[in-house]
Order: sequence, then C-alpha cells, then structure tokens
Amino acid sequence: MTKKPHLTKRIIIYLILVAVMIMINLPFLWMVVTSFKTEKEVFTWPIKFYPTLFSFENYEGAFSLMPLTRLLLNTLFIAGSVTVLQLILNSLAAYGLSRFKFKGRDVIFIILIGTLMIPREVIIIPLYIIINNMGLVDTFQSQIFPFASSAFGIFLLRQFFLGIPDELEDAALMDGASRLQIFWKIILPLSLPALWTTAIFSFLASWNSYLWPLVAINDSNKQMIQVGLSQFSSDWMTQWTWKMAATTIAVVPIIIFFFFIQKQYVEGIRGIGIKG
Amino acid sequence: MKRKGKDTLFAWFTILPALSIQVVFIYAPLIWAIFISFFRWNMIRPMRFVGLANYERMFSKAEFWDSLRITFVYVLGTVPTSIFIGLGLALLMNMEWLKLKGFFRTAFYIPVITAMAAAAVIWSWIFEPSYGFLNWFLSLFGIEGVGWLSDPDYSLPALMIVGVWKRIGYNMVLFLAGLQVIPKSLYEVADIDGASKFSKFWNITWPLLSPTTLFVVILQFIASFRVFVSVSVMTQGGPSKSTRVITYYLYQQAFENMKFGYSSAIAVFMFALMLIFTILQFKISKRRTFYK
Amino acid sequence: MKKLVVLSLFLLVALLCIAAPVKVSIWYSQTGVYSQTLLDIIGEFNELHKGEIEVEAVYSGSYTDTLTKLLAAMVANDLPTIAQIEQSRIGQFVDGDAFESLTKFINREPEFKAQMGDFFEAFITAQTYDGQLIAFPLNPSTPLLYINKDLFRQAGLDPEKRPVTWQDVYDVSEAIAALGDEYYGLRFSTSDWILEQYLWSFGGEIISEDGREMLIYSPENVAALEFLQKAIRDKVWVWVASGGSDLDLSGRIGLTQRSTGSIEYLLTNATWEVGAFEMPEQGGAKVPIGGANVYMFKDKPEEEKEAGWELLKFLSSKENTLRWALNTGYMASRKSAYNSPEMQEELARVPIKGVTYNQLMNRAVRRPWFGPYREVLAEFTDTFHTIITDTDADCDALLKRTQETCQEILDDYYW
Repeated sequence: MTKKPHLTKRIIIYLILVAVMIMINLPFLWMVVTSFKTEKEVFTWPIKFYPTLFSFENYEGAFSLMPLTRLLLNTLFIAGSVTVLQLILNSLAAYGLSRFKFKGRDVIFIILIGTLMIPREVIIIPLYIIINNMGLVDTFQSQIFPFASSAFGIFLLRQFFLGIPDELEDAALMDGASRLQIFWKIILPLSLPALWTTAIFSFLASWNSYLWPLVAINDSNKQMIQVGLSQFSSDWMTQWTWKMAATTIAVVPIIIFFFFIQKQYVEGIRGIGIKG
Repeated sequence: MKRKGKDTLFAWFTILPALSIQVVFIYAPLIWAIFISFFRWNMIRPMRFVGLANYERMFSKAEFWDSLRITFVYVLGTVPTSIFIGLGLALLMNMEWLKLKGFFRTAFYIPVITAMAAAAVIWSWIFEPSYGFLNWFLSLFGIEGVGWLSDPDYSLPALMIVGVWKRIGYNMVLFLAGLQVIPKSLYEVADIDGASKFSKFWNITWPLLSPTTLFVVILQFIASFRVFVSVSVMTQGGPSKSTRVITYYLYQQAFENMKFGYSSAIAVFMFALMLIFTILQFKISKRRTFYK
Repeated sequence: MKKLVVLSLFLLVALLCIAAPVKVSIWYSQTGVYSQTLLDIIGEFNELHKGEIEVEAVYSGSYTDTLTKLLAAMVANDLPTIAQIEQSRIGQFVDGDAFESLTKFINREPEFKAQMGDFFEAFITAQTYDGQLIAFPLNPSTPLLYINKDLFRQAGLDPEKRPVTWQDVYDVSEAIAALGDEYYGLRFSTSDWILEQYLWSFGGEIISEDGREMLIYSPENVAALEFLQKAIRDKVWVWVASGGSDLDLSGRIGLTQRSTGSIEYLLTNATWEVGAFEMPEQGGAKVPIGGANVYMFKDKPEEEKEAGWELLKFLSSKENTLRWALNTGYMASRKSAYNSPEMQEELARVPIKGVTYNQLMNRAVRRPWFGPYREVLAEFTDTFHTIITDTDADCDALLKRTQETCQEILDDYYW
C-alpha cells in the first residue's frame, strides 16, 4: 500500500478533477437546465444558467409530440440485441485471431479492420438495396443484422486477449479441456473488463444511430430514438425546451446504466487479481 | 499434426460468423461502390460508364486536396490532444487513494454517451459569437472573443475542440483499463529503489501501456478521419469551405449534388488511404510495443 | 351448378381484391407542431376513405435527409407514392422524368379542372414544367422582413414604416446598432432563397431561364455584395454560421429575413413585439416562393396513383388548405381559402400574416430548380460567406470566379 500523498496535494487533484468534470459537462448541464425553462427564456441576454420552470411541462410536451416511450423501447431492444450479438461474435473472432497461427490470419485481420475505414455515407445506398432484397426494410432486423459484429470490438478484444498468458491455456489443454471450454471458462471470465467496455461501445453506437434508421425504417412505431429527436428541429428552427427534455430522457438512462456497469467493471478487475 | 489441424479448423469456426457479417453488410456494399465509381450516375438517369474519369477528376480538383488537407489538420489537432488529456485523467483516476471513482468516471463519460447530433447543437450555442457561453467566459478574463463557427479561421479549431471533448472520456476509460493491468509489484519494486515519479512513469507505465496506447492512437485516428456529424450539424463544411472535411465533401457530392459515381470514387480512395495508414502504423509500432 | 360455384368463387375473390384498401404512402419533412396538422388531415382522409384507401405517413427527416432517403428508395425501387420535396431540390427528378403529371388527372375531371383558377396563379406556374403540373403546394411561403418593434421604438424609429430599399434597411439598422455593442440591425441570412431574393432585389439575375447559363456576374450583383460587405464591416448588420434563429429570439436583433412559416414560432416565443414587412427592393422586385410541395412518382401502379390523386385533391381542398394555413402560418394555396371569413378574421387579428399574400400576388416567382442548381447554390453561398468573413475581399474578382466555376458545373451537368 503506497503512502497517501499530502492533504494539500490530494485536495488539488480533487479540485482539478471537479473542474474538468464541470467544464466537460457544460453542454449536458445546459441541456438539463434548458429542459426546465420556457422557450422564451432559452436565449436571453445575459445568459440564465438556472432553470426557471419548476414543472415537467416540457417533458409532457415532448411526449405529446411523438411516442417517445415507444421509440426508447425500440432503441433499447435494438441496441440490446446488437450488444449481445456483438459480444458473442466479436469475442469468438478475437479469440481465433489472437491465439492461433494459421495461414491467412493476418490477411483476415486486415480485412476485418478495413471495415472501420469505410465511410458510412457511402454504404447507405447499397446496404439499403441488400436489405431490401432480403425483405427486411422497415424491420428491427435491418438495424440489428448488419451490426451483429464490429471490427472495432474484435480489435479491442484481440488486444486484451493477447495480454493473457499462454500458460493458462496450455495447462488447461493438458488437463484435456477443449478449445471451446477454454474460451468459455478461462478466457472470457478473465476479459470481463474488456467485455464490459466493448458492450458499452456497441450499445452506444446502436443507440446513437440516426441516418441508417432514417433511411431503412418507415413505420413511426418502429423508429429509433435519435430519428425521433430530430423531429424537434426543422430546417430553420428548434423547439429547444422540448428537444432538450427529450434528449435528457434519451441520455440519462444510459448514464445511470453506465454508472452501475462500471462498478461491475471495477469489481471485474479486482476479481482478476494480480496478473503475472 | 492433428492438434494443429483441429486448431486451425476451430480458429476458422470462431472467425466465420463475424467475417460473414462484415462481408455481406460492409464489403458487398463497398464492392458495389467500387463498381459505381467507374460510372457517372445521379441515381435517377441511367448510368454511364466513364472508366477512370471520376478518379482523374478527383485528383485534379483543388477542392478534393483541400478537403484532405483540412481533414489532416483536424486529425493532427484532435488525436494527440484527446490522448494526452485522456491519459492525464486516467493517471489521476488511477490513484489508489481517490474516492468517488465511479462518480468521476461516469461524469467524464457523459460526453461520450451523448449523441453527437444533440451535443453539436448545444456546442453551436456555446460557440455563438455574441451571446454564446465561450466568448462570455473568455470575456471574464479580458480575452476578446472570436467568431468561432462564423469565422473561417476559427471554425476548424472549434470543431477540433468538440472532437476532443467527445473522445476524452473514451480514451480515459481505455487507458484506465490498460493501467489497471500493470502489476502493482513493479511499482513497489521501483519505490524500494527510490525511483522518481517521472522515472516510474517513463520506465514502467509508458512501456507497459504501449499496446493500449497503440490501440487508442489507431482508433482515434480512424474516428477523427471519419468526422462527420459535428460538421454536418455545426458548419455544413463552411464558412467558405473551411471545415469541409473529406467525409462531408463525399456526402455533399453524393446527396446534394447527386454525383454518386464521383462520391464512390472518393470513398474508395478514403478506404485505401486508411488501410495503408493503419498497416503502416501497425508495422511501425510492432517494433516498439511490449506484449508481456 | 359447377358454373355457379366457379362464378361465386370468382366474385368472392374479386370482392376481396376490391375490398382490400389501396395503400398510399406519403413522406413528409414537417416537424414539431406543423406535423400534427398534416397527420390530422391524413387521419381524416383515412376515415373518409375507410376500406378503400389507406394512407401511411412517414417522417423522412429534414429536406436534405429526405433526399437521402428518397435516393436510397429510388435505387432499390421502393419509392413512396407521394413525397414532400423542397422546391429547389427537384431538378434531377424532373430531368429524370420521375414525377407523375397531375395535368393528366385534372383533364379527366372537368369539375376539378374548373376550380384550377381558384389556386393562386404563382403556385401553379411555379410547379408547371413542360406544360405539365407536377405538384400541389403543401407549405408554400415567401420570405418576410421581420422587425423587432420594441427595438425600433427604442431607437426612435417608427415601427409601422416599411424600410423599402436596402439603404433604408441600412439606415434603420444603424440606429438600432447604436443602442449598444450587443445590438445589431439586420441579421443577414445566407439561407439559399434569401440570397436569391437579395440578388434579385438589386436587379441582378442568377441563372438563365433554361438553366444552361450563369448570369451571376453582373454590376448589379457586385453592387449587392459590396453593399452587404459594407454593412457587415460597419457592424450594422450581423451574420452567424448557426444559431441565427436563436439570436433573433434573444431580442438583440432589429430585423431578420425569415419565412412566413416562422410567424407562429416568433409570435409564440419572442419576448418582443413582432412586425413584418415585404422584402426590400432596390431595382428588382422578385421574391422567391419557398417551402415544399407534394409530388407523386410516376413509377407506381396505376391504382396507387389514382388513390394518391385523391389524397392530393384532399390535401389541397379549400377546407384543408385553410386549416393548414390557420394552424401553421404557411400560406393557403387557394384564393377561396384566403377570402374565407375565417382567414380574413385571422388576418385582421394578426395583420402580419397578410404581408406574404401581397408579395404572392404581386412579386412571387418560382425559384431556380435545375438539376445542377444545388451545386451552383453551394458555390455562390460560399462566395457570400467569404465576403462576409473577410470584409476587405474583392467582390468583383470573387464574383467573376464564381461565375466561371458555376458555369463549369452547368456545362458538366448537361453532358
């Protein structure tokens, strides 16, 4: 246990962290404050940093304009499915790419990484054609299948798997365990932090998607939340108070979710113990 | 060797699902795009084969090179900065005696969680020259505000600020994970030897962190290169094309000018460029990273 | 007996086919409270035609996102029946013969044809290409010069006196800007159609009638740019890249160029008294018709197009166009709706809502619509940005270069 540094030093560090935290969250704070203002007070001069409306009026308004609950549930389902699928497919592929040497391995890896560099905008049209041919336009599947695996997740997990010593596996192999068992019982539990991290990234990417759901989904009851949020602005004006209320609703649950996840994540790390 | 054969089979089994998804849903569209890049097509009238004309046109237009240059400036401005700050925060957060880690970690992650589309809209307000937060804040210190998004000289830096802001928490979490797996014993030994803080960082932390660092650098590089949403919401490539990054240029060609063949050529070029870069980065750093 | 069975089976199947309602899909870009009116009207239509026609309304995003969605659908052969598309973005569709001619339907119905005179001529002319009408207006608008009456009074100006020329606008702006550092006269907008109006109002032109020749480099247009530059340099006018609408609301702007569609929004959210005038004129009077129209696609089954036609008629009926106008502040497309007691009452209650109609009847023209136009527009918008952000830039030289670049774009398009 290292010595605790001097009190002054500790206070300074806390102050730095708090200052950075406030600065970095300014947009978020403004967003929440705006959801408790009337539209007229959003852009006054001088700037009002405090809420002026002490009711959930704007939230009610936001819900009245569109089925926000429905959109949130849709997005939850889609993002959740994507996350689960990605966890499975990404970790499998990362395992294959990190533990085994075989012909073409590096080429495959490059191919997988290559997908990270393809601009989304260009894929949209041909992807729509493919989805259309599969008969999946206007379905949840159109938002899930194309994202069932992600090169980024594979990259991250492979990186972590590479850090796991071979000895653990060799020992298990000698005990007669199959590769699959090793994967399931040894590798995965050791990689919990990495798995949680990729889960968060997968979830977020899906949760925040806009252009693809806009193009591929028509039914307003199947739409995703970011598309819904865009309906609070038009080309020339924004209904700020409602939009901020809706955005707050879209963001806060994830923040809460993250808060609890990362506690697990910390425990996951502690549970690993010292790695040699 | 039977084991080797079985292993290889297993390896392929693990890779196949992910690979199939990528091939069907990403590579197939890419190949389609490559095909289209040899045609002139506005999606309504029939396609016309033009061979390499789109590529010739691309390389001969100043606007293409300008957007590449702008993108590189953006990348160079955001990647090191966000890594530096992310690493700094991770180092602070990694201190054992620190309480409320969960709270801080969540707080720093909020920008990452917030959709860029929503955040960009709020940042537009912050950057507003006459009544936005930033200029008001600067005026408190007697610094005169600038036009930010309305000024071609400051619009790209403004976008860089947003880009860095968005990714700090992301990098911090990754670095934290990397820091956590560095064995404490190494530090204890160094302490016994009376090593300085800096020496501990330079000789233990930095080298052992290198796989993470490499990973973060490549990731940030790719993400910055692909910047789009903030440009689309905040500046639309302007003013006077000062923020027209390559993805936005591509988007405009495809969806505003409806030049789908031409924009596909740009996409193919982007893909090739990024691929080369990543391979290079990988090769260079293979020599410099430690894995065990 | 067998014949009877077959016949009844046949009738049953036929009945089932007839019984199934025809599905029509309409894509719209309206947001917020504006979308509510549209959805209500569509809901009513579905009730009226229950069992026969079923309309599905799909939100397709902003005007630009709608284009993305449409193009994807077009390539996959999955277009909606009807889509709301913004005026200046239809060029490539028209060139590609993608829209159904409504004249065809009109000619078949003498009763409806007789009413065509009820529509404001400007709208009909604006949507007629090669002698065929291809759309009805959905949310038509003209730009207006809105003023902050409170600021006018504060600056000792008469808020009922219309600034007619841009020089007038400059003069009142000067008075308002003098109120303090954070005050400005006109917030100049570089929104596409506002720029069109600005150049036209100096007597300049942008593009030839056939869309093949650029006319943007002219003494009038150079004068227009230099005037703007001076006003920005003198800090009497202001321009922002984004958040302009919010700046208007903040009460520090004396004048702003916005759509008629903004009326409701401003009346509800501004903390200051809202006034509105016709757009300034200084040698040229043309004012662009903005907003979006509803177009029907050609490549759809006849049955669907028939049903779509019913919807289009319903949307542009006197009752519905009146209702639309009353709720949103966009214009009613029919004179009978304009002349109705409800509308006249509304105009008496909120006189500024009438300004746009005056412009419509006397000054409104179709915006340039050509295929390559959006690209040309992007070019000269950039030129405006350049002279605004660099108030020493040489307007003449820049405009000359813009003319050349744009002409290249045109030549390139018409291969």
